[in-house]
Amino acid sequence: MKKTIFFCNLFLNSGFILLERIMDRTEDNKIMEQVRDGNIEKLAILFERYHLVLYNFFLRLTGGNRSDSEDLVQYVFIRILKYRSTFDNQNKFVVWLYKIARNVHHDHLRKTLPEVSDEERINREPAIEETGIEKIEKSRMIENLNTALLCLPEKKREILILSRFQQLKCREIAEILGCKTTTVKVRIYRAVKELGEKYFKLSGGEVS
Amino acid sequence: MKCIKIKERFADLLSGEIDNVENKKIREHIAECDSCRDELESLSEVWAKLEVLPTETPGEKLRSGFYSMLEENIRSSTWEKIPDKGKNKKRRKWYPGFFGRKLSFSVMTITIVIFAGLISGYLISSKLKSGQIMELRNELKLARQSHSLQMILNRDNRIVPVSLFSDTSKNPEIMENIISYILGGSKISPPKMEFSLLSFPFGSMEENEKKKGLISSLSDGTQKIADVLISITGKVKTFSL
Repeated sequence: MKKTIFFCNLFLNSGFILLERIMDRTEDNKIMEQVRDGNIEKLAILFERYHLVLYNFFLRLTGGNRSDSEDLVQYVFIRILKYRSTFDNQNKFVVWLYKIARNVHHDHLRKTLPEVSDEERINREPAIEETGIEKIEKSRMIENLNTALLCLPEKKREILILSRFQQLKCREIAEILGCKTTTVKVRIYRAVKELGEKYFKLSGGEVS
Repeated sequence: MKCIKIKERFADLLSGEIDNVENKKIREHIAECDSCRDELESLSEVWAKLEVLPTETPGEKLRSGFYSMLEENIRSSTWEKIPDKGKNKKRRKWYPGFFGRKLSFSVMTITIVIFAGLISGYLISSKLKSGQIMELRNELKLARQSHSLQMILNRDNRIVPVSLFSDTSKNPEIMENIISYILGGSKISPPKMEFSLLSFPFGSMEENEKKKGLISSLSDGTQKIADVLISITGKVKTFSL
């Protein structure tokens, strides 16, 4: 019975999320068109809409590096301004935005130190203050999830973040990554599965 | 539907992108397939767990950085918008379309202009030949004389005839006649005597002071002058002292 309710909720939520996304994104394109045509000040609207999600996107990609994430968001908007003339209204703004964000992140990776191994990530000291039992448990969960995310291969981590945290549809992710929608779906499935396995290991065998 | 096909749709289910038909198919399958049901349950838990990852808010530095960057771009784009009158304005050609026309037209026009210039020049010069040119020459001569005298006068006001012909200087009578003539008081004029200083016409010798100076120079011979021309009895000689 409990499981039936869980699945019903899952199916219902999916419909609302979809509707909400469509409403905002047509508006973004109009604003970006204005920016492209010279009303640069309109970019502020898009910044206010997307800087938070972009910041968290980078935060998860960089393993919680706040300073780098802020810089990367800034670079994204600098590039939007720089390449505003290349914006094509036929494509969705959000797709274009994340394409830029990915490029910015890839450039950042090239400049920074080589990737840290999984073992090093797991052995890192937790950055969370431990006060109270509940907080400790939650903190551990967050820490383990973050570590598990960081242990994922770059492509899987990226696709999982785009799908789970950035509220993007599979079709949009496919446009961003330049692959088929079915490929995206399979990659998401594999990424979640691998994340679950890594998290299971980190939690000492307890999934829930 | 096979398990592999169902698993491909798990992503749709997790992300909320599934229509009713697909939804029904999956539900029917997982109701019968334990393996798929367990896997979906496990995936859904992990998916749901990710919710606990906090959404962080960036520092104020990001916003202030963005707005200063935007402001800078607005400022620079405003400068770009101001039309550069110098650049956009077409320069007006001083030869509007002339060299743009056919070559034969241009050559013909230039030839006509040259011929017109030559003809008009010839006509003007032929008219001047007779009286006007002579007048011009006289005017030029007078001007040169006047200028020469001025040079002499300005040289410490020494108006000096420097020397006379040897015969005139020896003849005091002629000298007296010259002096009285210059003073204008004597009606006795030396025969055919003309007096000029560097071909200086008498008419210009109106000032008494200058005449006196000239007389004293003639009588004393103490003052010097550069070039003097005295014409007496039709004889003209230039003296350089």
